[in-house]
Amino acid sequence: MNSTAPHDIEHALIKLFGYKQFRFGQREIIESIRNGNHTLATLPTGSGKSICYQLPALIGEGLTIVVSPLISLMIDQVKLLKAQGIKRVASLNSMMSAKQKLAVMNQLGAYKLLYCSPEMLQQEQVQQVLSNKKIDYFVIDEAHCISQWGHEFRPDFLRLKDVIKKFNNPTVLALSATATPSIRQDIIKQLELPMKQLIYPIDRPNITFSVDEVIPNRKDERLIELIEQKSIPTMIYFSSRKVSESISRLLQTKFPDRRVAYYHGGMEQDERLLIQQQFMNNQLDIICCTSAFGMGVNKSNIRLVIHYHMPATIESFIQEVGRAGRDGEQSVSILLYAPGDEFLPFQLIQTELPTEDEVNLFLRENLNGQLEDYLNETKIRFLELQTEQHQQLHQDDRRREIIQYRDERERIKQQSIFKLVDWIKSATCRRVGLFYHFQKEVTKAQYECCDSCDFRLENWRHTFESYQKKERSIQKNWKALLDELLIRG
Amino acid sequence: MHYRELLLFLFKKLEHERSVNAVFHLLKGKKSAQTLQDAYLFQIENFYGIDRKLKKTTFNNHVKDLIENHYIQVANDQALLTEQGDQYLSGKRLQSYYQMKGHKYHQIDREFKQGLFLLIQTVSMLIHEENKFIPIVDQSYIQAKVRELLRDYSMQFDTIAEQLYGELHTVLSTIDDCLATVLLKQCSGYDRVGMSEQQIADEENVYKEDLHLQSIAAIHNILETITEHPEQYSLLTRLIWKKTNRLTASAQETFDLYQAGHTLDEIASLRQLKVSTIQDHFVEIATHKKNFNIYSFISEQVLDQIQEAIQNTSTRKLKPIKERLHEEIDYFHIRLAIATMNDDKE
Repeated sequence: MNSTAPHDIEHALIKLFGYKQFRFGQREIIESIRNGNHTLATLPTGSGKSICYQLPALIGEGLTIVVSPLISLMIDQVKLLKAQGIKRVASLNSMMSAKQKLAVMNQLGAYKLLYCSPEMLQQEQVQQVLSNKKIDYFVIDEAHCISQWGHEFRPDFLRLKDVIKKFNNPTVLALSATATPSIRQDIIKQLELPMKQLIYPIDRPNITFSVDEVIPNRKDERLIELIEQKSIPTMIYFSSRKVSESISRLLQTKFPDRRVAYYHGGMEQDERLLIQQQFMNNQLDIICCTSAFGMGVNKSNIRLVIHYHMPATIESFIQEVGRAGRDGEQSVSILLYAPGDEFLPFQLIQTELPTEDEVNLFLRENLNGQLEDYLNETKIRFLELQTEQHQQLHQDDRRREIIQYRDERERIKQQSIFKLVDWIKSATCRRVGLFYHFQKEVTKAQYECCDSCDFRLENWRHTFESYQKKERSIQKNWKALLDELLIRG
Repeated sequence: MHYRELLLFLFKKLEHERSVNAVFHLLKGKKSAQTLQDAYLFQIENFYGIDRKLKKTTFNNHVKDLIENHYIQVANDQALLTEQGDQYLSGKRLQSYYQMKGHKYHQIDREFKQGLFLLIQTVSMLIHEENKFIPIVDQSYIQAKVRELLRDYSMQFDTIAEQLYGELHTVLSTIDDCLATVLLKQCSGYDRVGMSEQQIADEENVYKEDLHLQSIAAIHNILETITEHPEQYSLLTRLIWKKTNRLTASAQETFDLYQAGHTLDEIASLRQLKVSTIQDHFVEIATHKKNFNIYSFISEQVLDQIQEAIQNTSTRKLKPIKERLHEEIDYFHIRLAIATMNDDKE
């Protein structure tokens, strides 16, 4: 691919996305891949990572494939692009029917951007169709998922290197907002490609960090206090769907004037769509959610992100906090911690990794067809890939290898929880503690830094407008609503 | 209109005759001969399939509550109304429930509702000159349908808006004010995103299921009116999907692929489903579709043998039939053969 004059991409930026200027790092990354370099790049969440591949894809000749770990993220991206008037995009994922998938594959020529889950790329039919196409760029979004040191390790990511070869080696762009040096090395190793690294600091100087340690059964009380004091657009993260619902109800009762809702992966699709759009449209003040919410939610004025439960890794914490303050104004992260909170993420590990007994069961018994009765999906996926990888080994050696690997994964996961607990309990600068894993220098805070340095929540005087009074839809009848909708005011 | 009253009413209808679960299957619209027959037999077909997303746990919770409030007792899997339950029920005006027409509309009501919501949103956006927005309905076939409708009106947005407003105003005036309001609160449009059923329920301090009954009743009322007077509702009737399909969505998908020339095994691998699941689909297809050619799966000769075995055993249980047949004839073949004997096809 030849390098084009810089004003060309600037022109495309205005025309396609309506921005006058590139943001930090975007131009360098775009130029790197347009010059044909395989590139590994880090940019903070909310800094316009996706433009780095969307723009070159849209002005390129061929097709760009974007591998994305989360289906919801993929669907959101496609929807957002279409809403912006960029229609030549599609996705292939397991939530689509066979008919829908076929329809996409039969008219690949109509698309410039194709979002795919790594699992879909393993399907022979998909590979076959795509390997006959001219593919300009192969993008791996949230690339830390490739790494076994990353936080969302999925076996099918390991097979991407073979997929890339089958597609005649298009230029690869691996993007992440949370990749430590060891994860970056691992990504390059897993892809078996020479990669140019463009590493930008991932800390956001407008976010202030604070950890609030409370007595175990006083957490709700403390949360209510916080919400009472700070009348600003707020996200509250939970690890449990049930708790996100019950706290949402509690807050709605306590604060009838504010608009509170919950969002989690267990809700029906229609309802999730409504809540997400209400939030984007500033119809909600507080959202109680799990990690299912937020990927691709590009709301600029979230002022406060509270973690009611601690996440399992520093990476997810950074990502979730990164939803705040995308407009560059000051925003605050508060993690509520009660001694013993780490028990929950430790417990979650046990639902993700098979026990030794389960490994034995899987290898010894022929459980064809009733596997699901004994093991959950995550465990089955883990075991299937491991058996495949150690196919050549003798039964006992294979068993030993798998168990060893399982133990190692458990250790890695436990370590990352310990790392976060250490951070919570430390008395040194929170920003340094979070970001030194990722970059040499931590950017200086633009407003207050953290509770270890200079921040007291009680003293925080924000200048944001407080809520508009809640509109009580309950008082409106259908005639008024119909007029509102269909008569131009 | 409360869900628990409805449950109590249905338990009363099935008292001494059917199990607690029969009510669950009815509300969910289970596609079994038993459930459908029961619906007509006990004259509760209006409620067939009115809550197709009902979860077993939700249902059980309501039942548990009825027991704890001493409205029913459950013995041998059957629900019996207590004196208190009978009294409670007799004090209620239940006619309102009859406005529902589950048996008639359970296959089209959800699509109609979604099409309506998307049309309202789109028109509302367009008359406010907002042509970039995220559609409130994800399903691409509903999006395609609404797009087609707009195209037929040559994109005369003001004309459509006026007509849509007029038709909705007329039809909503014929139904209960509360029901109309519940429906419109869920609608999205320019600078407003609709509320979910759960949110309205929370606001009104009722169960989500109570609210769902109101939504579905509103939709059925609208459908009833506009299908009776299609000439007055030329826009709204366009949102009715002509579908009298009795196949499950998944079986329909298999059938579509089959008609597109794929074999059973290909369909299984395409859809990443088990072969046995696809076989189930073909049995369903053979049961309901007149024009389905069974001979691509079994020869006429084998079919004859199986049908003879069925007559000789005079049962429709599979095992005794299989025992009478050559061992190469498997259960799939037998089920297909039985399916072809169903004479109620479309």
